[in-house]
Amino acid sequence: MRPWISALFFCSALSAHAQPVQKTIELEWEEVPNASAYVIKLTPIDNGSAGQPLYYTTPEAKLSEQVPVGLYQLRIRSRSKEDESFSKWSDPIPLEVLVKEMKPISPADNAVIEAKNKLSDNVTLSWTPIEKVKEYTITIWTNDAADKPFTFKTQSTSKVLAVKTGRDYHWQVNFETSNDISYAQTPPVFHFTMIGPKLIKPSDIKIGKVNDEHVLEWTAHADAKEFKNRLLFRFLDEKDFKPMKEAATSTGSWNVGKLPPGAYRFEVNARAPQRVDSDKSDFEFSVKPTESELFRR
Amino acid sequence: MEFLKPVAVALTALALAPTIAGAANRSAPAWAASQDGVPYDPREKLIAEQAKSLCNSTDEYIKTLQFLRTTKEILIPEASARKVADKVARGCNGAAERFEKILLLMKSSGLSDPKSLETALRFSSYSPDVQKNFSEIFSRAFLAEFFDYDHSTAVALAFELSRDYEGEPAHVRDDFIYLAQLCKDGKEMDLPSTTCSEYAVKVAKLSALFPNGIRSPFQTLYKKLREDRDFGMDVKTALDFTYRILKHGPRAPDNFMDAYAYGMKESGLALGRNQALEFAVRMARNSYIGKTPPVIPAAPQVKNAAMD
Repeated sequence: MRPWISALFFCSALSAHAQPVQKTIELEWEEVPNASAYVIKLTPIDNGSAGQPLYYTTPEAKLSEQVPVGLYQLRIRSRSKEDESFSKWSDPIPLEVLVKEMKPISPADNAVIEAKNKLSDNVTLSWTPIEKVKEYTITIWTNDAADKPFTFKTQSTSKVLAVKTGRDYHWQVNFETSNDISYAQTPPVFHFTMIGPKLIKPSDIKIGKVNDEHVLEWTAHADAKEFKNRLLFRFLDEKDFKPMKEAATSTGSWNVGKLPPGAYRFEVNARAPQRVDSDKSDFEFSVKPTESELFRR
Repeated sequence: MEFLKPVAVALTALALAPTIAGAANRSAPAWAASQDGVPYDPREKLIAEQAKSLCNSTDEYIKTLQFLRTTKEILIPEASARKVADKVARGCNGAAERFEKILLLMKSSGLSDPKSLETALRFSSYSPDVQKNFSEIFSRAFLAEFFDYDHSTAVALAFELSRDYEGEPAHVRDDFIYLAQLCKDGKEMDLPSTTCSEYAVKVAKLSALFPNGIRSPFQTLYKKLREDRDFGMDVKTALDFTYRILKHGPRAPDNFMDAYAYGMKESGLALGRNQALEFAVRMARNSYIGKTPPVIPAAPQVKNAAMD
């Protein structure tokens, strides 16, 4: 009984050999009852003429082997368990072993994309074209819904999708070649993160005093969840500020304690998960001694 | 015996001479008494004059070094502290105290250690009046409760009215303190703080034109312009006129008042109020000879050797 080749699988990994370029192929076919082994014959076709065939033997109805890149004629026959006799060769089918390495064009792998809108934005997935592909199938999923991927088909090498902000995405592209044989490879998985737009920077910064301690306060946009604060100091006769203290706060205020006389510079950024940090706001002020502190001396 | 007479006279003179010399040492003879009857010893006066130029340098050195070793306001290595104490000692008596006061003042205001030290060293060689003026004027110019000037402006003003001031330092100091308090209180001079501080500085600088400073002439004139029914000016106008008159020196207020009265009188110039005021200001302007009103310089002091 001749084996019926129903599906062919190619692995996209390149071998490390220098010459010739080899690719791992994975073949599966329907089992033949009472077959003890199968013989696979790959005859290279070069400009219409046949070359020296490659033979492989396997006890199962599948094969995984490294073969040089090129065009082949594939035929398979089985060997009977009972009398060790071989069946006739299967009808020849063309087999193309190609370097099918796909790379993402956009977004770049592991890219962090700033969305224009707060909740979602469009992203264009595009990749390097592969020869003789009839159709591409894009699969995309998030970290928290890996078991519920979305699938899209396209004949072009790009696809625009609307994605939500604040998520990590994974995507891969499968393809079907232009001959009638479906090639499925184990494509690489690419990643990108969609984050919300840049936060609005804090404003209306002022310095006040509560119980003899200095408190900095500012107005923050509702989206800000945390603030990165820095206080710098210089003596009045100096030019450059030097870092004095840093802290993160969750509200628009920071008690910096009783500050000694001198000149100060306060810098603050607003932050939120999956959002771009705001631009830095800064505010300069000076602290003077009180009348009683100065005259006490 | 006539030939013996001259000898007797000579002996008498000899006998008297030691007495006269002794009198000079023990009590002044009548011809050497001072005008108030106190015995006048020219040598003692010279000794007293010399004493003004003498210094207890070791005392100043020790005080300075002790201060630098114990103060927490500034950390300075022992070797540097000794060099500083050496320099301060050259400022003569009181130098250690001047140094300490200015150092603490500058540190409290927010200056760095090196700059505070540099300023304090300078003041150790200045006179006590210069240091005191600087401290009082800088404090009031700098503090937020008073004029709230930035540091460099406050320092510049303080130097102008201390080290670089021609007139009597005590007068300008007291005048400045008085005017700064007026601005702070806001009762007599109810002006925005910037306007008030600028005005106060302007008036304080007139102190050197007046024998006892500007405070009393200012109070008198301002009160008259505000309360006299001949004038009855509002605060801003009264302050403006007060300055315009006082800047022409100690004769100006009287010239102004006399000229105004004469200008308003029927038998005088019979002017209207505004014209009379203009006339009075014109007369006040002519209260001195020369281009600028004459300044009364400070009383001569013994110059500190380090100031040269």
